[in-house]
Amino acid sequence: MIRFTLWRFGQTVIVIAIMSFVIYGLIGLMPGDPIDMMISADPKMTSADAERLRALYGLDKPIYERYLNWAQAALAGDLGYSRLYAQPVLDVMWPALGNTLILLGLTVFFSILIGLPLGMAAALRPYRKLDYTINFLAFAGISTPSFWLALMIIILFSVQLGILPASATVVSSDAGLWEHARAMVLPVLTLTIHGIAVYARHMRSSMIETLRRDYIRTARAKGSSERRVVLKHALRNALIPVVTIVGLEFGHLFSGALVTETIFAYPGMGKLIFDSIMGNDFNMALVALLFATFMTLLGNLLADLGYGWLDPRISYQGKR
Amino acid sequence: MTARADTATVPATTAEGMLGLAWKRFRHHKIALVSAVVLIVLATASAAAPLIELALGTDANLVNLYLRFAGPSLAHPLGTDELGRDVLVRLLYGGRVSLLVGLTAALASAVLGTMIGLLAGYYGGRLDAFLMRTTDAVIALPLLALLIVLAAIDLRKLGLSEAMIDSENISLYRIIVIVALTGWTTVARLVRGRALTVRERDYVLAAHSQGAGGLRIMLVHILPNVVSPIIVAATLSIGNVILLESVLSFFGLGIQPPIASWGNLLTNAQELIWQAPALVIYPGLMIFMTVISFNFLGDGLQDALDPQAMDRAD
Amino acid sequence: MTETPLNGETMSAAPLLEPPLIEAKNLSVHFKAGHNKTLRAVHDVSLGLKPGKTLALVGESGCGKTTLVRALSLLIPPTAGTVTFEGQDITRFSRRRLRPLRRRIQMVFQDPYSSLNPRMPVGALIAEPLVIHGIGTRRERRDKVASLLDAVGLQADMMNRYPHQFSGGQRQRIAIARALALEPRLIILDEPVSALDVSVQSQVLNLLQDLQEKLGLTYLFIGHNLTVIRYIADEVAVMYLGEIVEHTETRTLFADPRHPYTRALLEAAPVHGVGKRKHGTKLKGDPPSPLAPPPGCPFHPRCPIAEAVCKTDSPAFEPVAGQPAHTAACHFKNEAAS
Repeated sequence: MIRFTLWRFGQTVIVIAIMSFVIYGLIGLMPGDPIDMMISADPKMTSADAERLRALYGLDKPIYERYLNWAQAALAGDLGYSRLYAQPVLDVMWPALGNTLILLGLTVFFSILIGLPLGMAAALRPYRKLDYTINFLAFAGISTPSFWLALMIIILFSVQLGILPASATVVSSDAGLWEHARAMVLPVLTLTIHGIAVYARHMRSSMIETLRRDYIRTARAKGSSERRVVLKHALRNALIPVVTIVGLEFGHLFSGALVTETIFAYPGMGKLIFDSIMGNDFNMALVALLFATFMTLLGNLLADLGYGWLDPRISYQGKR
Repeated sequence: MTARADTATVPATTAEGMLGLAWKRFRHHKIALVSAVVLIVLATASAAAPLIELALGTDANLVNLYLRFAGPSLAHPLGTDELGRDVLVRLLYGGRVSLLVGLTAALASAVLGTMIGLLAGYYGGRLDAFLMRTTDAVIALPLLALLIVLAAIDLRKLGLSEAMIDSENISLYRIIVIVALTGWTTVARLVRGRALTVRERDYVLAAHSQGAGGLRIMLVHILPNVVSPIIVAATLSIGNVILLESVLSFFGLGIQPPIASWGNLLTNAQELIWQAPALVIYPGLMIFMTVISFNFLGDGLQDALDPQAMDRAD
Repeated sequence: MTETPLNGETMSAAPLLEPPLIEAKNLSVHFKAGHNKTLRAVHDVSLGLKPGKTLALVGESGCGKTTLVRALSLLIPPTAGTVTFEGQDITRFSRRRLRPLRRRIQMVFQDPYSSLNPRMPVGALIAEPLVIHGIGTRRERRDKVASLLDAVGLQADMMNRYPHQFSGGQRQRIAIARALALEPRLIILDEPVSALDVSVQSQVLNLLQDLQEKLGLTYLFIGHNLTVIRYIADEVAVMYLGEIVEHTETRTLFADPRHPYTRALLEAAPVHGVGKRKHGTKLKGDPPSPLAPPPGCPFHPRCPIAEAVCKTDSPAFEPVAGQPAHTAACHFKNEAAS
């Protein structure tokens, strides 16, 4: 188990190292470069000036050399300045990260709270009316474009009913907790609808599979009450794969967060990434993307490790 | 030779018979059947968009500022948009692009995934380990964020010719390539898993002993035995592709106007929700209907073609 | 094998003088299994096949028969030793150089349900070896498939059907037709009838014998059903834990077995009547793991006549006294069974 953990951790580090290079390269392929921006800001600059500046910033060097320079500085803690926000990138990122974690935390909490019981209810009487209904709704949930769902929710709650704000940015600085909470309702609702569908589907299939196992049959044959069979024997085992889903689905969750944050103007990581890419803020986009990658990989790592921890039967020795 | 006694044939099921069996199972999946019909109607209507345009006597690109936000009428069954264009016809034109992109990109990623899965499953060993760790890594990435970067990159810096970049369809090609580059993982995993089993069969060994090379074994002996999961996974992925296309287009990074797609019909939607919510509802409804239909269709195909395979999320 | 004059009792001189079609010399196949462990699947095997004859290879499952056969046909590389085919040492041949040789060695597998690709029509299956080796035009291949189907007792118009439309016996005929397509000299038959219905077994065996006579084929027949082996084989080699322990003419083996393992096998099987084998009446326990073969004679832990010497010294694989064509690996091979 320790060996596996170390191995898995090493793998994650390698992927992050590779991804940092890939993302660095991709950002370099975005239109324009910092010097172009200076030129457009200062029409008096000659092309000779531009060349000198490029050399000064090392932009004439080959990509891997620039990357190594960047990586060296980054590891030393110097991640550069955000052009768009005129602050060190980390100062911009930490609050955004906090906001996203609050958003995602609430989403996962409500999705599990509602999704798991729904999945269980469907699994207990599979291929009956209730199961079909839940299954259909779950399919509908995963088939709805998240941005459109956000717009529909705005139309309903902000335009038609007018009870909740369409923007999640709290403008006034002296706003209380109540206003912050109100602002978060719609983004959380949008993400949760999708989350419920995902978790209910996984819970349903996991539970159906578990209920087919021999030890469940044994428990039933021994005369345990159905309630006891389900809650005591089946639930724990059915939950194991579902818990890992929470980790593995982190990438999807984050994609959803990007869309939702952007539409509701919620100041999180997703909106930060979107804005910095759109605004040609190379440093910011690079660091935020890398951090998002790191978070999803971490989610996967935790899911893998959690799986082994929850299910002691899994031996990682023979697996690789 | 006296050896004809064992010629008592098994009931003559033919290759068509196998398909017939699958069809029988598929027929029982009512929702999948309905979905197939919905998709056929949508596809036909989209394909016939120019005819419908002609029949209604409108022009999809005709701007008529006197007729903005018109309600449904005989000439404009779904009304008009912020520039007075016919909503129904624009929806159908958008459907052409969205469906085309969905099918092409899903096909491209299925082909890519099949190749990777076959190589990993047939050759095994280090190549397999490398390809599967790569797959794990790609699955673990924050996909949408990376897609946005990919959609934002400057093709000139990739050394593409100006003529190609300025072509009207470049945004179409770009999105197909982007989605294929990131969408191959599911198929690759499935094909690899099946190939691992199939390559142990005696008929693969038989071919090998006759001197068949790796390419022949992969294409002639393994591939035909892994088609069912490929078809299922590809069908399910069409829905995802359409969702990705729509969200990128919504953000202005996917299909670029003047080409209409269901995603970019919604680009201006956020400003319109206050004055014309209907314009926001229709394109999304089309996406929703298409995606859910493909998902149900895939579900039904899975039951019909590949009953033993459970969609394991590991 | 030996220089001693023949006593003419068991066999004529001719087959011994004729060079073997394929021959393994001190062939070993070892697999790495984990840290510092080797699996001795095949160990120091020497075996020759006489042209036009049938050699049967007998042994319990897991004794290394299949590995030996795959090493002989160079589907897996041997760890040590050589394989000679038609007088040529082919052990170190590259894939490319092996390719023409693959035409001369064909295989028929045990389970005709898994050895025929279910997604290919029978015609394509039988023609596949021709396609691989680029032989003939489409039309010529079609004619060839028709004549092959006829040769194995099936109708030519069956070539458009798929394997699942045939019975087990018919499928095995198809597999045989495929093996014949390249006009090979050697066919390796890997338990070709054991998956078939008893009533069908003899038909397939008869077909194999007819074909051998007509085409001068050499067979390497792997099996464990002694009734079948007695019927079809000219010679039998008995394998135990990766080694050949006894090798001689079929008649001699059944009449005068010299290795206690062979005796146990014979006693475990009812000689007449197929199918009712009371396996293991005489053999104690399971064969030891090839990962940790016992020292001395590999058979000694299960041997009813083992003595102290068996636990320390490995017996040589040598001819039995007075029978130059009968080799056995037992310290007591010269003491005929009572």
